[in-house]
Amino acid sequence: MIGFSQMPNFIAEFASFLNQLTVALQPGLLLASVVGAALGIFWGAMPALSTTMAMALLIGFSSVMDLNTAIMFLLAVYLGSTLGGSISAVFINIPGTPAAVCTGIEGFPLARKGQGGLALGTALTASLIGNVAGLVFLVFLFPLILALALKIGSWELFLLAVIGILLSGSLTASGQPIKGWISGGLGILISMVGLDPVNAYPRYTFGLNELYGGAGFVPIMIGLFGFAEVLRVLPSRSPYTIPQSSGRLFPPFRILKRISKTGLRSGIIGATIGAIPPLGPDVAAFVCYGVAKRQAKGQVAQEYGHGSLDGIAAAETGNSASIGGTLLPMLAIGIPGGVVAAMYLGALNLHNVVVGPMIDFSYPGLVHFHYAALLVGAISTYVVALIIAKPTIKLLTMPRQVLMPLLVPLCVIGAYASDMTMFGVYVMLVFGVIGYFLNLIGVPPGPMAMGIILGPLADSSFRRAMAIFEGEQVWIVLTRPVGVVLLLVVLWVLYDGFFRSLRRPA
Amino acid sequence: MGGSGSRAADYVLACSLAALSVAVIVSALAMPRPGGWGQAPGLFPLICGSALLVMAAILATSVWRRSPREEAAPDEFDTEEMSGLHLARILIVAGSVAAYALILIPLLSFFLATLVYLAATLWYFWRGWWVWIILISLATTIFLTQTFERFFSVMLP
Repeated sequence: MIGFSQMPNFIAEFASFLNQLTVALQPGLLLASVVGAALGIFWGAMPALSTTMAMALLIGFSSVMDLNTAIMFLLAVYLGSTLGGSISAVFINIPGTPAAVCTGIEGFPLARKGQGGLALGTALTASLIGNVAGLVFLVFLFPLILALALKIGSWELFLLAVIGILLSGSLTASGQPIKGWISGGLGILISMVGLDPVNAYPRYTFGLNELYGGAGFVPIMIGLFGFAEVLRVLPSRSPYTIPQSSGRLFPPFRILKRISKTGLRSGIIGATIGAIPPLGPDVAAFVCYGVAKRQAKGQVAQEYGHGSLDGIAAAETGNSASIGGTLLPMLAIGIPGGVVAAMYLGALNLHNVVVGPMIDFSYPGLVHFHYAALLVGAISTYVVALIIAKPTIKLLTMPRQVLMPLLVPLCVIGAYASDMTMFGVYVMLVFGVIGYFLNLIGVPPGPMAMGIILGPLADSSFRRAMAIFEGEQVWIVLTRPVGVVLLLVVLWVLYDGFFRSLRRPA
Repeated sequence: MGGSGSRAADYVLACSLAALSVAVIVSALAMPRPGGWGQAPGLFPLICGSALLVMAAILATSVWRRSPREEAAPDEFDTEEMSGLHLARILIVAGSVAAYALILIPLLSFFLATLVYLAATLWYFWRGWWVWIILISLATTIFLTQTFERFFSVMLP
């Protein structure tokens, strides 16, 4: 196992990184990164289209490129689409990706106040800070993070999934965490539709063949966030307006100074969460947002829920920093850190690259080339996003009576494209109505999305842990230090939430 | 976001959730247990159903403890959502989207269905000049079909 003994290799690691950076800055590779970033931002900013779909479609394009160009292109798509999700979250309250839910919670109220430009600018800057902080953290602490990631077993994965769902519930249901947890619990139930991952037993399929593969995460997301928002806004005789002049884009120095501490902390947390295989930008965004909210004091604390730049910075730094972390276990131990990373793994396979513990011997410098590609991709994404920000703001601030109908065909395309059947469209319509009613009674849809994402992980990890612990005393869970810490976090979040729920609503 | 929910709505939510939880628990208990409970497909639904039942009880308790004066004041946008008059427009939106997805697209092509849907919806909700309505509908439909079908090679419904 890699541990403290290999820490002196930092200088050699950094020198190799600088060497690969000069390769990544070649004009052809730079162009691939810029084009990838632009396509990714465009895709992520479309309310009904996900990062997963962007990667799935653009992997085909990358197969005709050489390996370095494909890496530069696909990583920029990944970074761009994750960032693009925050654009629609801020201006139309529809997070383009689950990782942008927290950004929407804080950014949308600012957009309504005419400060959408500042909210978006903060998101872009925080995203760049996150990418760079996460990258520096990875380059220097690669062995330590890997050692930590390898200590995470099935029991710890189960606890991490539970923490992710509980935290998202606590954070999005203002004053009534119980409603957020209910939403998360319903999400877990929905994730159980389909064949059980251990015994392949059909659960809650109601005899429908289409449900054997699950209800479909993408159509559910589009329904809960996209169609539900159309149902909420379009019927209104006087829907809200977003001011065309959304203020300055670059956050002033005092804001940068204020968010720098949050950014640094979220960068470290995000990169660490990303390194734990099945967790990714979505969980990272929620955890970083939660930590920042808890740490906030005075005026900054009061801004949370009503438009907080600190909250936007935490979520965006966290989800961006996790991208580098997500790639780490994939390259080093061959376990993809999520669906998007799995697709990226597939793209590398198309170029006959086999990742895993021997990667440094089989493909010398490839890990460091990934770091360089991430850094160049982060800067490309930032520059492209700044260039297209103003026209995008103009487009997204058009009257809601015009914008909302235009989103409906996008929702239909997104839901249909997820599995190329009309069943996805039916699921989207049903969950749109469910999302509308949930919103009406104060149940946030964000935790439901987290429950659907993390439910299968919680289910399979828990049952694997049960198999490992079979025949042992229940106290065996207390002999695992990481597990004990995570268990204490679960109990603390539960205690805090119950206390707040029973006290009174906000 | 949406409202925080009235006492009545919260009670309805708690009762519906309790009923759903009981149904989940019963169905989980009926699932096979080939290698004992540890590997049973019903184990996690059973835990989840039980947890939701507890949450329903906590929600009901918290609503019961909350006095009517502590009701969260809905914002202007939410107040409109609660009016009966608003319901008809919601049904029109939901109905038009359902008609677009379930009738128009299978009946016409995606291109024509989208064109008709956009023109009709913009006319009803926006009430802009008819030339603008046709131009926006046509431009959006062409942009969507060309971008997804030609550029990204995404099959359209």
